[in-house]
Amino acid sequence: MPQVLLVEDEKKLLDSLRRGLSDEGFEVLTATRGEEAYYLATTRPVDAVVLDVMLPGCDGFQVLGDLRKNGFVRPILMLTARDAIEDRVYGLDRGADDYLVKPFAFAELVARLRALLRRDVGSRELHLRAADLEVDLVARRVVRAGIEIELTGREFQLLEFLLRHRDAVVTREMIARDVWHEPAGVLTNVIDVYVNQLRKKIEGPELQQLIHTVRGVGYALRSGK
Amino acid sequence: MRRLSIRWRLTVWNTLAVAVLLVVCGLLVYAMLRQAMYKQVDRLLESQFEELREDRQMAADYETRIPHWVQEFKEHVNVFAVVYDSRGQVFARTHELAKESVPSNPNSEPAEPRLATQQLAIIGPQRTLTARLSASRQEFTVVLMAPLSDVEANLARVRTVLVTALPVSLALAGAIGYWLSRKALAPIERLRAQTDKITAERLDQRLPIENPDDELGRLTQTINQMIARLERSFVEIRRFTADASHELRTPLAVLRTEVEVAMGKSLDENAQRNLLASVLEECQRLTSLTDQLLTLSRDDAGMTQYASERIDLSSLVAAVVETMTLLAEAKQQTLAFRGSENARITGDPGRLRRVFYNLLDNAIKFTPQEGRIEVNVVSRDNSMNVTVRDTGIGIPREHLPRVFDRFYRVDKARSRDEGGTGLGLSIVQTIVIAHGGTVEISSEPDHGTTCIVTLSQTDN
Repeated sequence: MPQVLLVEDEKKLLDSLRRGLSDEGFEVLTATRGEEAYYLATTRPVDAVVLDVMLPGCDGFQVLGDLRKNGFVRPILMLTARDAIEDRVYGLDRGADDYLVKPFAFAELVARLRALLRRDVGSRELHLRAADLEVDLVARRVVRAGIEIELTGREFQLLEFLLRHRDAVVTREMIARDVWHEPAGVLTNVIDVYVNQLRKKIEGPELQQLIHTVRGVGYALRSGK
Repeated sequence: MRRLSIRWRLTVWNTLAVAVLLVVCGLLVYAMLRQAMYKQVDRLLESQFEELREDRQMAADYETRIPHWVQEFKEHVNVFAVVYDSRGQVFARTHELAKESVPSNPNSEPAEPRLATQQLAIIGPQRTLTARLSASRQEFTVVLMAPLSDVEANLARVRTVLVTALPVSLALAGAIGYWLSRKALAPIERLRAQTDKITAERLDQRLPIENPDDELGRLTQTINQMIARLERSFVEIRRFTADASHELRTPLAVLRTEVEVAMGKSLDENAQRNLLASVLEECQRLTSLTDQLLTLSRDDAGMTQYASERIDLSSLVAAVVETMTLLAEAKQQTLAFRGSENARITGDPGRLRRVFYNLLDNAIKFTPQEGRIEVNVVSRDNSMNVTVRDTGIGIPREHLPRVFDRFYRVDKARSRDEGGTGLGLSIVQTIVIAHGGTVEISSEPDHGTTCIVTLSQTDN
């Protein structure tokens, strides 16, 4: 069970994040102050840190810098309320692995955390699979229940993205950014249409439903029964 | 040092200018007067010497003629005379002239009469004329002396007048300058007092213009125009604040109601999920609303950094059209695109894509099923036009001037149901203007809307 250190001074947010991450199968340590975070990160076997920038006393960037100086190599994900480019660059320069702008979708936090934890171990898979759907990323072939399916470039990218996050919820923001490389905004409707299009192609009346809509959040590709 | 008020500065400058003028004039007048007076004396001396020289009896009888003339000079024109013979001895002199006052013999005198000013004992400053006189092979040197005491006394009087007149005139000039500047500045003071009264609550007021053609009239007009602009932006800010708070309150109200109602009764799992989903949707709306507001206010504050890249506008628009095609197809609309060769511009590709996403999103949203949307990129005299034309419901004429206003919606209920924030066109306009371009919108209700974005082309 991966252990995550969660640093956030807003008690309510900290509490709901802790509960959510526990439900998602993380072991969660929490801290509300920079000094405390530094202490826990250096004394406990922490696999990843979720670090808020705005902290009382010693701020997030300071903790980040101190940890990296001290040879802390585990992934650190920064949470920032200001989405100024400078903030992001500053954080990444100082050794953050990723950042999320508040307010963020919890699903996105989970997805990114998983991605960060996986990065250390897993290599890029070239074949993705969910139930009876198989995707060959090299040949760009999609096969469902033995039948080959033609997809457009964008549909293929969308499917690949959903498969990489299989069994997890992805938000429209995540899809917009990672598949279209655009901020979400106006693409919300577009994404819905694309997902429906993809559904029509890879699903059928006799086949198991793979792509599920999670109302108010986004989509999930579920491989299980 | 504290700066003096304009009134005092004007007074000081005015006084200084008058002082310089007076001193220069005074010196000039004095110099001319002095020269004229000396000239008079000189002329007297010259004319006397002329008479002496032209005396015809001189050659025959110089021994009596010279003393006679010497006496004549004294009696008639009050001129002292001393005549030296060729050996330098005094040959004749005015009796009244004291011995001490006799000037020493000027040796080697020139042939021409020479004028000079000498200070002599007892009789004081004298204007002297020294000349040679020949009579019967005898050479004489004649020195005629006219007293300068009268001249000097007159000049001294003039000096006194000038020196006493100067400070008096200066004081007068200062007083007049002060009075004049006060008179000239009084309207400005009035203007200030009137402007002072126009506060944020009274921006509908204007300053009275006394004479529209003079400097103050023009200043007042400028101030009035400024107040008008202020008034407009105040009205806009008030409207914006009201709209913004309305837009922010609506999702909050929904959230609150949903949750309150849910707390009041026990829900089955399905109803609970529905409720939570609805709550999440409102959160999404609030998030995108604050994001867009942040985008706009950043831009207002000039904090937005725009990338400056060379872009092929045709392929940029084509990519946006391609993405939006499915959306149009879902409504059985036709989305046609025609690009243009050589559509090079410089700009921020991400933000420009946003412009066309927003425009196409609107076009698709407000065009009924089976409608047609055309997107054309056309090159026209160093600029690129991107036209988005739809066959949609159109915009009533009275709404057209305000469609770029923040939160302005033609059909409020409908647009909000479609997930619009009312900021889309504002963002379009902000981005296009930041690129030095323009965006125009024209529409005919029930027939469609045309939106033209003009951006300047980059030379190759």
